[in-house]
Amino acid sequence: MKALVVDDSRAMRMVLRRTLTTLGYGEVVEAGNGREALDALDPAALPDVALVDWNMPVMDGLAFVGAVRADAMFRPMTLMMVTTESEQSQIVRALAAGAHEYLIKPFSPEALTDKLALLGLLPMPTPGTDSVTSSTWSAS
Amino acid sequence: MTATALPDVPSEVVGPDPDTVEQIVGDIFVGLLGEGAARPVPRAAAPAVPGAGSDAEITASVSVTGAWAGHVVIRCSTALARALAGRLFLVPEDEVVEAEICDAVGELVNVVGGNVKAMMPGPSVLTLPRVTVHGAAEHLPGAVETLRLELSWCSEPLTISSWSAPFPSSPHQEFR
Repeated sequence: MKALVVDDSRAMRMVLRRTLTTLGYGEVVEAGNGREALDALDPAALPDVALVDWNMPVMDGLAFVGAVRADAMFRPMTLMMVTTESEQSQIVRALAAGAHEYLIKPFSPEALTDKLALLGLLPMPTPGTDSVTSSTWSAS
Repeated sequence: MTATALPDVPSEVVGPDPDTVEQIVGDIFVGLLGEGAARPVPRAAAPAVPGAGSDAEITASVSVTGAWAGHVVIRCSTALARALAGRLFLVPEDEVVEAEICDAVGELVNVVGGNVKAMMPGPSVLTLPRVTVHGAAEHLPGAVETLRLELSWCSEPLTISSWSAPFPSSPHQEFR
């Protein structure tokens, strides 16, 4: 399975990458803001899930979610906000814009795992495969 | 309760709950570094290490504008920031570069600030983090300090403060 992590903090991208890799994601790609993520999305090879921060320079997470949902080519991709924005009104805004799930920072690996399980996005473990393909679109 | 008593804070100025903020700071360290990671402890309870904790050279802040206007500021030693960044980026502390320090401490203040924002009246907007290395403390004109937590992590000082602004705070330069 393939995941996209969109966060302007390289530290947070690494934290998310580690958890996703541990869970069995075979490919984790990174973007430093919504614009970079949009520019790099390939409709023919969409990530199964995008984990999206809210507050980022250039294009924030809410705008990214809106842009993705406005394009039918990206419809198969599941969107999860991973953000410090924790007010109920903000959660409602993100879900209304098209996010499927919402995870509030700080979070534990178990919390992320639970959310992915709810979405049916936990990779099945494959015995004997421990290699991980990674790529970085841009590091801010 | 580990908050430092703040003199001359007007009674109408309300700050975030210190115990909740301390809990959140601990959760952030565990969330970033893993389940076994040490949580910051109140500084008075931290083990005394000669020569440690004498410098506070990193300042990171975020501002909130809206129904509540204010700032959340983190100050820490370079040693703490270097240790945090080294563990986050899995590099030896002596190989940590300034960009990694800014990123790590910036994310720390971003998450603390976002949670403080959620505790205060809304709606409001959070700025991107600003991080200053080896610079003077940020000047917050007219702001009233409403919370100060004096913590220690790995025997190094970590101070968390929140400031209530008398008027909507202005945009600042962003460092990320």
